[in-house]
Amino acid sequence: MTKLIKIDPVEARQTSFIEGPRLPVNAYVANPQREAEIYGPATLVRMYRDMVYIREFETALDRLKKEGAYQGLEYNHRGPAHLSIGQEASAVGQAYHLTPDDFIFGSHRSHGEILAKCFSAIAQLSDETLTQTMERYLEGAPLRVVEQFAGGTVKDVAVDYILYGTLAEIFGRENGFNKGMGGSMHAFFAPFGVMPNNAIVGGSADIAVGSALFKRINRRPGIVIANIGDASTGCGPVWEAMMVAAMDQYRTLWPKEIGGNPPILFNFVDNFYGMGGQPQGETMGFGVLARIGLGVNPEAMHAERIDGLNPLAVADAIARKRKILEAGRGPVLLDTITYRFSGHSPSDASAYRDRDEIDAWSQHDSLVTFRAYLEENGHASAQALEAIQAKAVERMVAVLQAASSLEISPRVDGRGEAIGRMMFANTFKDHMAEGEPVVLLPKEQTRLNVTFAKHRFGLDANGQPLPKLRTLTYAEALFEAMIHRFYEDPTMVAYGEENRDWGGAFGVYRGLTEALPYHRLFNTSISEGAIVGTAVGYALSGGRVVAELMYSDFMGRAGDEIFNQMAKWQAMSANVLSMPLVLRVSVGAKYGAQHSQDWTSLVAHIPGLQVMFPATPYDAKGMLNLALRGTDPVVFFESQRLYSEPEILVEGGVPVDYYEVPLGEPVVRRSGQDVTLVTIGATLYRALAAADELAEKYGLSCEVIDTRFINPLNYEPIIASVKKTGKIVLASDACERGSFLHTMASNISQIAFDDLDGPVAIVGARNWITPPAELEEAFFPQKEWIIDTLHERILPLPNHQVSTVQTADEILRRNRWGV
Amino acid sequence: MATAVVMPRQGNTVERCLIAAWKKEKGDTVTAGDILCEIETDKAMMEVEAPASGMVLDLFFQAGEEVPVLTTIAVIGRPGEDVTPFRPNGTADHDESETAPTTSPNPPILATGSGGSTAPTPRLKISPRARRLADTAGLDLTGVQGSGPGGRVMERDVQAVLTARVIDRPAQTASQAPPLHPTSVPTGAPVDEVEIAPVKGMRKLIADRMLASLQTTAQLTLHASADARRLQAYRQRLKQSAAGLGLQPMTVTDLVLFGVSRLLRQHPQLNALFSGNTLAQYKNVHLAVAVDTPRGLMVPVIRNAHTLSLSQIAAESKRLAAACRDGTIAPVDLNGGTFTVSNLGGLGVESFTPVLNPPQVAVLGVCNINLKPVERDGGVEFVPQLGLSLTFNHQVVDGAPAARFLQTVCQGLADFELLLAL
Repeated sequence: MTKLIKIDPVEARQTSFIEGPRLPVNAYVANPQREAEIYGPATLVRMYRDMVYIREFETALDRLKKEGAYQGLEYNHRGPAHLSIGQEASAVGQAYHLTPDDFIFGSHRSHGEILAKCFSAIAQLSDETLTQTMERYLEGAPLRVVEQFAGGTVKDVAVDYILYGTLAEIFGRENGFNKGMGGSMHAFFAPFGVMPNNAIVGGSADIAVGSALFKRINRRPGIVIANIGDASTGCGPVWEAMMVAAMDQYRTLWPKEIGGNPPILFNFVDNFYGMGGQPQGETMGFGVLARIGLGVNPEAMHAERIDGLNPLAVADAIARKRKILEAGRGPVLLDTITYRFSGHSPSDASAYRDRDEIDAWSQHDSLVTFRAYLEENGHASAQALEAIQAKAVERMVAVLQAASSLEISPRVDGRGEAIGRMMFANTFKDHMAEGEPVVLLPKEQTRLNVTFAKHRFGLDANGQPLPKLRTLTYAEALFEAMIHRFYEDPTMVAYGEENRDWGGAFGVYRGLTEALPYHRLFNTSISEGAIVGTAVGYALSGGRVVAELMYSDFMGRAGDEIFNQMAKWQAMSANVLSMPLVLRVSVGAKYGAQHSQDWTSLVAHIPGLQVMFPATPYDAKGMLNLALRGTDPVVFFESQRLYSEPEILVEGGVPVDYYEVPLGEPVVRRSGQDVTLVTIGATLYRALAAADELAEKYGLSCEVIDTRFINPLNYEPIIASVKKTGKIVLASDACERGSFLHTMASNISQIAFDDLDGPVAIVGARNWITPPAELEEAFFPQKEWIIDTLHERILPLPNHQVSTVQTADEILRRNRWGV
Repeated sequence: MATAVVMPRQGNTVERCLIAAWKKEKGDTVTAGDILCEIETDKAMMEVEAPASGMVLDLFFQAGEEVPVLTTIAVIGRPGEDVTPFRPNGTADHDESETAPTTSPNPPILATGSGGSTAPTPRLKISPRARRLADTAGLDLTGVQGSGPGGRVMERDVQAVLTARVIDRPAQTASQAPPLHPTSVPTGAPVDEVEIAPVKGMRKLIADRMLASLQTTAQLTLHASADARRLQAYRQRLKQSAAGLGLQPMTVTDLVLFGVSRLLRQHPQLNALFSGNTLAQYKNVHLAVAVDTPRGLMVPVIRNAHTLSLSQIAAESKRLAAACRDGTIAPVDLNGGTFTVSNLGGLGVESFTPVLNPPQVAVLGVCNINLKPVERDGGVEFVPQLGLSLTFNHQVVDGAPAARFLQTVCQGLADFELLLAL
């Protein structure tokens, strides 16, 4: 779709073979002398220390979970503990070459990775930077605690700080790095480049790719590693992440100065087990995990299997792969073998493996072998190494004492609104970073010339429709909001399927291709999960992003990314991260069961998402403007029934200048006295038609309210209307069962019960598949449904002849049949 | 154990009764069967007997109060027994137990209660908004017909009652609250010229029913007159008939009732009840007769009038009217009419628009007999004519069939003896 890449039929039909590179397996050759030169004794000993600290940290948790005590300190930890005992070398070896600018995203089993990366950062950073970071983070709260028991140098304090902040987080305490909102499986510490760890298997893959995209597009230093398990290779989103990471366009179409592919390393921490299932030999078919690289791109992702039991083998691999990534030749895949001696979790009885297998791997335990290596090569004495172990226990005891005490480390007040306040940042920023946005045209020469010149209101002085082609449409109003922010925020990017050239399947982005370089507007692979997941990573790394799903129905493909990632990370980070992500979702029509569903109610159910659904061009622009200046995640629904419609409701039409619609505020589209009709989305127009007929035939004056927002939503204008009319019908195109309308109805009934002159009635789509276009009138709410519902359930209309069945008995019947 | 005295239920439609007078006082000793008090419904006066012997331990309501049926109104027992458990909620003494096994005094909601032996009355269906409006206005909703789905009382129904009340409200009351229609309310009437009385009991019911009738049906009245010469002659003959025949004098109403009882059988669409969704046409004729009593209009029913002879109809009519006037009419005699006859002719009314008694679909008003000029053999002759006014519900009865029925009645009465063959 780019016109720049021609498909040559001759070449396409030629006979040949696909050949791929040979993939190294455990290629690292130990060379103690050279290693001593590269790292030096002090660093090698520090690496050992870090491994010991990780082992002790995990051992303490293991004891607490299994025995309720560690070193005589009793504590009941109710949350999860997925331990990495045995995997220390892979974490520490990886961290050695990583700077705070390099990001790692992990899994549910990432305590070791957090500690290793932070310890590495401490070793690299100046005392001043360390102090500043600890003083600033959560306003110094964790540091205040650590100061009470830690002593020694700033670096010593910093090590205790990391141990304490991580443990307090695992224990769900307010001084934890994420105020306890993340816990064991999601703990992280962004200042040192330790980014969110994810309890969804493989969940970090596409988020990490998004973060790498952010680095590449915004020319930020550092690489990004997704530390995910070997079993996550069975997850679709992991594959989608690799597809997006490996797209050719970075090298074929993007500006050369951007630097090629995003610097993403998929590091599969290959401990040979899922929970109990074995990817190698049982649940997957790759034989050796690294082979996956062969299926992704000609470079086979530079894939290697490396020996994760040797920290120096891992460090070596990271150093080599970092160069590839920095040269824009990624993505990279590492199959880092390791072994966890502990179970998947404390409840794991290890029924899936024999004791002798564990014993055999114990012979390869990195803590034993690396310690022997240090002693053999004269880097440290046995006593010195013993002292490290003793110190580790001593520090863990001090840290555990502080982290387990409710006086020293209280939890956030769960009874108050402390958690509620973390759900949204409610902040607004014109741009997420300073700098001049990169564009191809001056703003004055863009398609704004065309749209600004159009009629901004769809009706002439006599109320007659103006020609549609010469009037600003809903789609063009969205375009104006998009291009405005593109020219304000240098970090803003937009992508999805067919976003460039085609302009999005419905032409909303028409005119953007000419104005924006590839790296700010591009097509992705058809990977809905990764489209949203990468956007999550892009946003939480600090960039503004607009991801697009062509149809609401495709949200199913991105379920985890919308429900568990986009919605959760602000609160799970205790607002340390923000999520300036707008997910544009188009609600279809005429395209049948899998392309014409209104799924607004699904996201309404998920805490952490702002949900918007404009019904007119004025709101389309004003609400998208609002969403694009906010820093909270927004699911922005649009209607395909409306894209080509002009503004006919808001006097004066769509302003040329920038404006915003107030967040969460419904709008009264028509004032009335007798009945209130409330709609979400395009159903507005059917309700207005119903209001016309009710006025004409029955002399009823209807107040018509367009909610515009689903969350947040200010109910007050609706309640005020109900107090006036006493009668209210709610309508939307979402299927009736489980519709958000029922939530609204319940709230209205509870708030305004005494004002109601009849039950709050709902008009939703039928609980069917969406039938063919020709039968849609039987499926989506029509004007007649609204009138008949009013007649049957609230206000019998004199001599009204119903054309549909909307009685209370029919509700019973439909539910009995499940339709 | 003390015994509760419960306000008895009077048929299915009565929801509350007025305590007209207590015949016993607190502390009196009574024997089972003694009259405790007199109560008045919208339809009749009745007495409540003591259900047990003992001392009247407490009376929970005063004479003049309206009490929901099945509510405990008094307690009989041994001196010193605790009456608290019997006390209905909301009556005096606020420290009573919450477990009082009585019904709430809030009448429309509660259908069953302490009596336990009776069938539940239909629950009043009303929207929260309408209830609040009614409560604010102190409006008793008994008898108000709901216009919402399933007969739910909606705000507009309450407003209609209130509007009517404001229009009729005497000046003094109206000046206390801003009237809905200020211009329709006379102002400035001196206080001492007005006697304020609560509208309740039977009057209240009549008020509500009349309003509901006019608001919820499409009433139309046709006027016609019947040659009354043979009617008058027949009455004369009855008066003068041999004593041995045992015939009593009869009123014009009696004769009209007889005629209607026979002719209605050929016009079943007028001998019908309309419920909004269904029209029940009756084969049997149950004639309701409007009776003027000191407490207001009552409408007892002559059951199966089409099977009764003229004499039997006259006797039944007389019996029912007397029972209404002295307050001894049984509730059962006030229900089940399928067609009503109302006579204002005795008061010189020449024509009127009788108000329907829903769910009935027609009512025949009988007017006075006037001499009217009739052309005969090229000259004018004055003939006594009986005025008849037929109101019918145009929702279910069209004009032509109603007119045909009225015409038939006129023809039948004009040739009265022929009706005796029917």
